[in-house]
Amino acid sequence: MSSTAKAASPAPGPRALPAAARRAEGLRLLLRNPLAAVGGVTVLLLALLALFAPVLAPAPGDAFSAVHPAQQLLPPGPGHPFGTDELGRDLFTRVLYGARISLAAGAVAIAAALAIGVPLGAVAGYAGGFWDELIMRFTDVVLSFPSLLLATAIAAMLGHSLTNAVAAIALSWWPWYTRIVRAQVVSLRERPFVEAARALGVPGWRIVFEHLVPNALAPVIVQASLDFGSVILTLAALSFLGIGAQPPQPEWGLLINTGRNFFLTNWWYVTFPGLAIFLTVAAFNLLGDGLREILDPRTRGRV
Amino acid sequence: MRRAWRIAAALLAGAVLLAGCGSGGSGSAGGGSEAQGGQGAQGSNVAVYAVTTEPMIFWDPSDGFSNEIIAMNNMYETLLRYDPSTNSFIKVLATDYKSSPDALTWTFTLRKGVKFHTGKTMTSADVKASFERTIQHGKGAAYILDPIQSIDTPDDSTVVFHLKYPAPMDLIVSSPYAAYVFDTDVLKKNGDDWFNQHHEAGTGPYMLKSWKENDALVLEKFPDYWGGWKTNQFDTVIIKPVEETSTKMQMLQAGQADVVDQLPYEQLQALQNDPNVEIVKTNSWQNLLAFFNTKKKPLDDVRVRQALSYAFPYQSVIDDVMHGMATQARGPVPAGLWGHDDNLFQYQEDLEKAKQLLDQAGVKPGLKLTLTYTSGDENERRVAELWKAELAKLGITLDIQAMPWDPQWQLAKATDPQKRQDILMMYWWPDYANPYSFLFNMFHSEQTVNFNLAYYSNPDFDKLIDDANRISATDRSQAEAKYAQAQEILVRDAPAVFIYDQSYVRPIRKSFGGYVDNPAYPNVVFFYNTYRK
Amino acid sequence: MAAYIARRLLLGLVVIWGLTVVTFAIARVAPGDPAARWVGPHATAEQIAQARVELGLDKPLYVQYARYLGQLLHGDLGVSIRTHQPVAADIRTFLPASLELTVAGMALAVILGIPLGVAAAARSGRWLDHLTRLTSIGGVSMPTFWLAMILQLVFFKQLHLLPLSGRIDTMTPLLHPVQPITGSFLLDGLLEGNWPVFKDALAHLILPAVTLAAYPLGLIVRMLRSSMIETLGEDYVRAARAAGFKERVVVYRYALKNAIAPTLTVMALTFAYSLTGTFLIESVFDWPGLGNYAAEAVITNDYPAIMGVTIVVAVMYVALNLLVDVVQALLDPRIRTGVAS
Repeated sequence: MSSTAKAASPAPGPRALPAAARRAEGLRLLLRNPLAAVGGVTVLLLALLALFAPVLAPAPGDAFSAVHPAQQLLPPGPGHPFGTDELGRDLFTRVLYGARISLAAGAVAIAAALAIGVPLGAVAGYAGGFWDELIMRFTDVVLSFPSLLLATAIAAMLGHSLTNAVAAIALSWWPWYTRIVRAQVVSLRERPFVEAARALGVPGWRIVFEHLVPNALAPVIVQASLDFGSVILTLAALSFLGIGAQPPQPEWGLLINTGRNFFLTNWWYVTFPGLAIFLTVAAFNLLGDGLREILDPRTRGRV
Repeated sequence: MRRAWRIAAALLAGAVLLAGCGSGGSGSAGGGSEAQGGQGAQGSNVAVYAVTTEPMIFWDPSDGFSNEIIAMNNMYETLLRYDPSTNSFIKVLATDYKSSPDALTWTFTLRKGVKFHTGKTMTSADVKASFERTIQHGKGAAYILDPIQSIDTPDDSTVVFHLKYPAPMDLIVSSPYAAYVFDTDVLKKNGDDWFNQHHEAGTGPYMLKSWKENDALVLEKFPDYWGGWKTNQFDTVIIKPVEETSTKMQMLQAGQADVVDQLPYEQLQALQNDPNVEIVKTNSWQNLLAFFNTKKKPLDDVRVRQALSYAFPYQSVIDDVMHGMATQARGPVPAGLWGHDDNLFQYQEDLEKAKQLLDQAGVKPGLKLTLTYTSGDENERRVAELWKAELAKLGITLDIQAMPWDPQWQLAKATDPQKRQDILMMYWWPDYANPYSFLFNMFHSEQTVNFNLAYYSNPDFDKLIDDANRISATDRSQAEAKYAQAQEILVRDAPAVFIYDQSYVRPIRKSFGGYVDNPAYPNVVFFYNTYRK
Repeated sequence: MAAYIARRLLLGLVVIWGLTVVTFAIARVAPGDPAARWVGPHATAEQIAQARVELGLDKPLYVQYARYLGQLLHGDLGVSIRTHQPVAADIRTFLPASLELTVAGMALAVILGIPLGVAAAARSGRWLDHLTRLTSIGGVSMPTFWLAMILQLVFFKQLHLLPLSGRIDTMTPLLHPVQPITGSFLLDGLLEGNWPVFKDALAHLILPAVTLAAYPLGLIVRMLRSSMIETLGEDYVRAARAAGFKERVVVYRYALKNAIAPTLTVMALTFAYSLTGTFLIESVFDWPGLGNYAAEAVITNDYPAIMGVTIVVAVMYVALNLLVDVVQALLDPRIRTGVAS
């Protein structure tokens, strides 16, 4: 999350001032869009819950190595608002800690996708010609896979772990950012400030990374935050397939995967982790929708 | 385009209505499917066996070494069948046999008038050809036939096996793998790959009717079966892969399945109250072990391995994970198999003792160990998590890693022992009723690592079990004494935690009669012995 | 026009070739020894070595790739390590069930999605619109595998209305034999007038289809709503309104016809996407389809199966993409002359 926040702060450059002004305007619009506001508040709340999980959880040890076999599969009730699992662990605690995993892993996956996608897009856009063709055709190839399929294949092949699942998501996600950055860089390439830098003999890579990329970043960051929901959903799906997080990590998709053995007899086991995924992803999507409307003037005012 | 939508919409709406009527009309309390199933499996003489994974992995009776044995043992037969409950042999294709005193020559007299599904009558030539083909293929479990030097057929109903070294040939020809007798003539006509094109040519009571991958294997009775037929036996047997445990349970309750290979405890508990379901529990020969990497510090120290053996929550695993569907293992040879020693030392959980041993070995809290288990195995996962909790009390962190079997095995075979895991969990079960299978494969010194995943090497132990195996065909009690001695050494050296011997727990319909679970034939239902009550 | 199609076709081929490189590369970085897996759990070292030769794993990588590509061109996707059947045969076995499910799910999504999207756009900003948008966001935010279990809990466990899982009861095709014509119990039952089979198959299809429909439904509603809003603001629509046409006619006859194009693209792509979506729900419903097969392959590192499924689904995805592009080029000349891009 922190990297996203830092990158979103306005970069010094010709567009800095108007961007700040637009943000203030955007915030007002966001607050006026009820669905987006609900999404935003929920996201904020989830982040706080995740942050304060150690304080809020009734049994923080249950998120790690503790087990209480005597209390297995208790239905929701006082003491265990979400019930307990097959090893007697408090599911509320585990779902709460799951929020930490999903939010952090989502942020890392997106940051990694940006780290791959942005430089490639910048190089393609600035260099043009052969490199542009090569990078963009490769991008096309990767985009021609349905993203879940590619992520599944990569995660399956890399070996089953949360880290590899995050890597798989990043590896299947970057081309979207490459496309956006390339388009931005192409449109900025001929701007006077770039030509001025070139005339002063600034080397190409410095032009790209000191002038072009910072200015091309804004729309990418917006897109990345829109993708947060999908990334969390994909991660849960990979864990559900057994190729993401590994026990005893309380990742939501993994909780559902484990709970499916019990779901007909112990309904609470899959229900609560699933609700957590649903709420989180819906909140990000609501927020994202709102953001898109604010940033896309064509749909503004039609809400 | 719009017209197309309208038609599609109409179709779908109609369809939904129909479905509503269907289940509403026939469904009593249990819903539509249940009512229909009730008329099906119950009324007819069809038996349905719901198994967790696709049974037909291999089709060739020479190569089969996997799930297909549950079908193969109904389509094909072996010379003898071993009954561990009485430690005796049931005569199947052989009516009699004898061995020379040195156990190097074994003579089998064949049953007369046995027909293959192809119509041909079985003779000693077919038996010889079957075994020779399996040996020549060298796939699957063919290595169990390694002792065979040559096969003679003095007449149509006599087969003589000449062995390279003494071996319990009666047990070997009873093996659920690699010991089937089949009609090899059809292969001459149709090519050696004919079986793999989903054909069979056995003598068994049931023959192949149809098969659809991941859907169902349908067998029907072979009218000319040598044993003859009674009216209440099953005409049709369906073996159906059903992965989802909830579905299996529902099929059993609805009478759509007569027998289910396994269900988790939670579902078994729910089934206990069902008046139509019975639960059959038998000792199996499958056990679970956790191997220590004896080539890596600090597990190279026997005191550390013993400490970790004392820090294992045996009772909790039996009670809370297996819910009594297993018993704590006593050494590597499971209870119920000859060679098992009831007086062998057994570790009990004792954290104080574990702590002392660790102190003696100079192991400080903060030790980190990695454990691998096979992904998807819920029992292994829960066992690992319970152990992790106990080890945490000693200041040891256990990192649990689920891996598919082949990467798990590859890691275990890494050239550098330091790169391998610290602890590996794995099941073992024998290829035929032989304790040597456990002791040799898992603990005999190995040049290149195969299944000795503790990398244990002890010449005394090796000698004891090799000797025991050599005399097992002639002097079973002497062999058992040597095996017991070997296991004492093993348990003291603690290259592995001997966790539990698993029980087979099969939920069956009460109306499914004649079912006996034989642990020598894992998961096999001999449908010829079963009938509709 | 022909040049445009040829160019798109060529690009499609390049993409598919790229796919083979990517899948091959992924499979070869994978840890684990496929040969060991191939021979099964209790194999000897010699058996593994023999299998390695049999599978061609002892050859250099480029040889393996060339061999792989050659086999692909002959429709040979290798042999599954888990099922020991040719992957192509496996896919032929499992694809029809998945197609049946996907078609049913998409049909449901389209039938519900179009009126909802249109209605939301026509009443933009009002409660119906908000409700529809919430539903559509719900659809795309729902973990499908979870929705599957919740539906089973409600409709099987609580209401006893629908079967839990499977494609048909084990007994139904035995009591009422069907000739396999299409491979779909539903269609075969319908074509042969075998009503018990048809009804049973349909009852089994409902929950998986509804589950699968959730995501495409959300997308279709979202896409259609925004493009309808745009179209409804166009001059000719206003003109039609001004001319006194009924609102229904304006919305459905004029606006929808033009707003549907982008939604059509989404629908085509979602179709292929839903085929991947079956990975997550077929195992929950024990649906004997490609998704179930893929999920099993993924867990057991059955790399020929993973590669095979990946390639087949990706090729379908590329082909559908191509088809949509060509159709749109036929409909809208701006695209093929490059104005729109």
